Amino acid sequence: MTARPHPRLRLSELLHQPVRFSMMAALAAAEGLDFRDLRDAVQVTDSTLSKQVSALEAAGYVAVTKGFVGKRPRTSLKATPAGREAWAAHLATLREIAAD
Amino acid sequence: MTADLTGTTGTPDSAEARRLLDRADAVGRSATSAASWPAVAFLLALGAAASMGTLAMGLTTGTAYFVAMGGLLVWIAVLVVAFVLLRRSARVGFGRRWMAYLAAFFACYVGAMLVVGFSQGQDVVGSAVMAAVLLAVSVACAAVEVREARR
Repeated sequence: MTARPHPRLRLSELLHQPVRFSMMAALAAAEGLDFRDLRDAVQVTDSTLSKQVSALEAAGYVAVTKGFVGKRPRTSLKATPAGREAWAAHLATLREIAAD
Repeated sequence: MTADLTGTTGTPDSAEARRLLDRADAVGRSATSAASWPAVAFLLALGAAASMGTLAMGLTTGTAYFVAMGGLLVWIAVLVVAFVLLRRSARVGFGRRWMAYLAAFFACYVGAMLVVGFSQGQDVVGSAVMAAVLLAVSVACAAVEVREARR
């Protein structure tokens, strides 16, 4: 009989990183977040946030939209369906571990 | 596993997993806590402007009627521009709620415009009722959005 693997083995390394974990928590609660609002919520610098946004964007978990309101540039971010699914799975695994 | 939220390596035990779940909940709330206020301010201001404009249009005729209508339209334009400039983020489900707010408001607005259009400065009660309805609908929509923001 094969033992069932521990839930921690199903945790996503990409989402478990501290900044990316907070970013996905914020984005999952929002329809869309302005870059500055996300930065303030996660409490990191612009450059750190940009780097982590790129990692999540490359994984297909976050969609980035750049535009202008008047003359001011505005960057909006939203979790993609794949990102929401991965986040939900990550939280479900954490709940399993928490219930142990 | 590479790192937990404290930046240390290792896998989370049950206590750490609970802490992470609490952290996710807290970050989600704080990220969207201020997202609703431009919509709430817009709805309240729209209700105030529309109800006063409706009352003014219902109680006047001729040039005064068109002055009141022009004033109302200018205020609506100012509010729309301010909303577009101030709104940055949105809580999950906002798009669906927003469409419902606008549909409810404009259904009442069309009714109000029909009443004041036929009023010719005479239908005081009808104009007052429609002004009250517009204010009540917009305040109700704002109240729903405030409740959603606190969830």
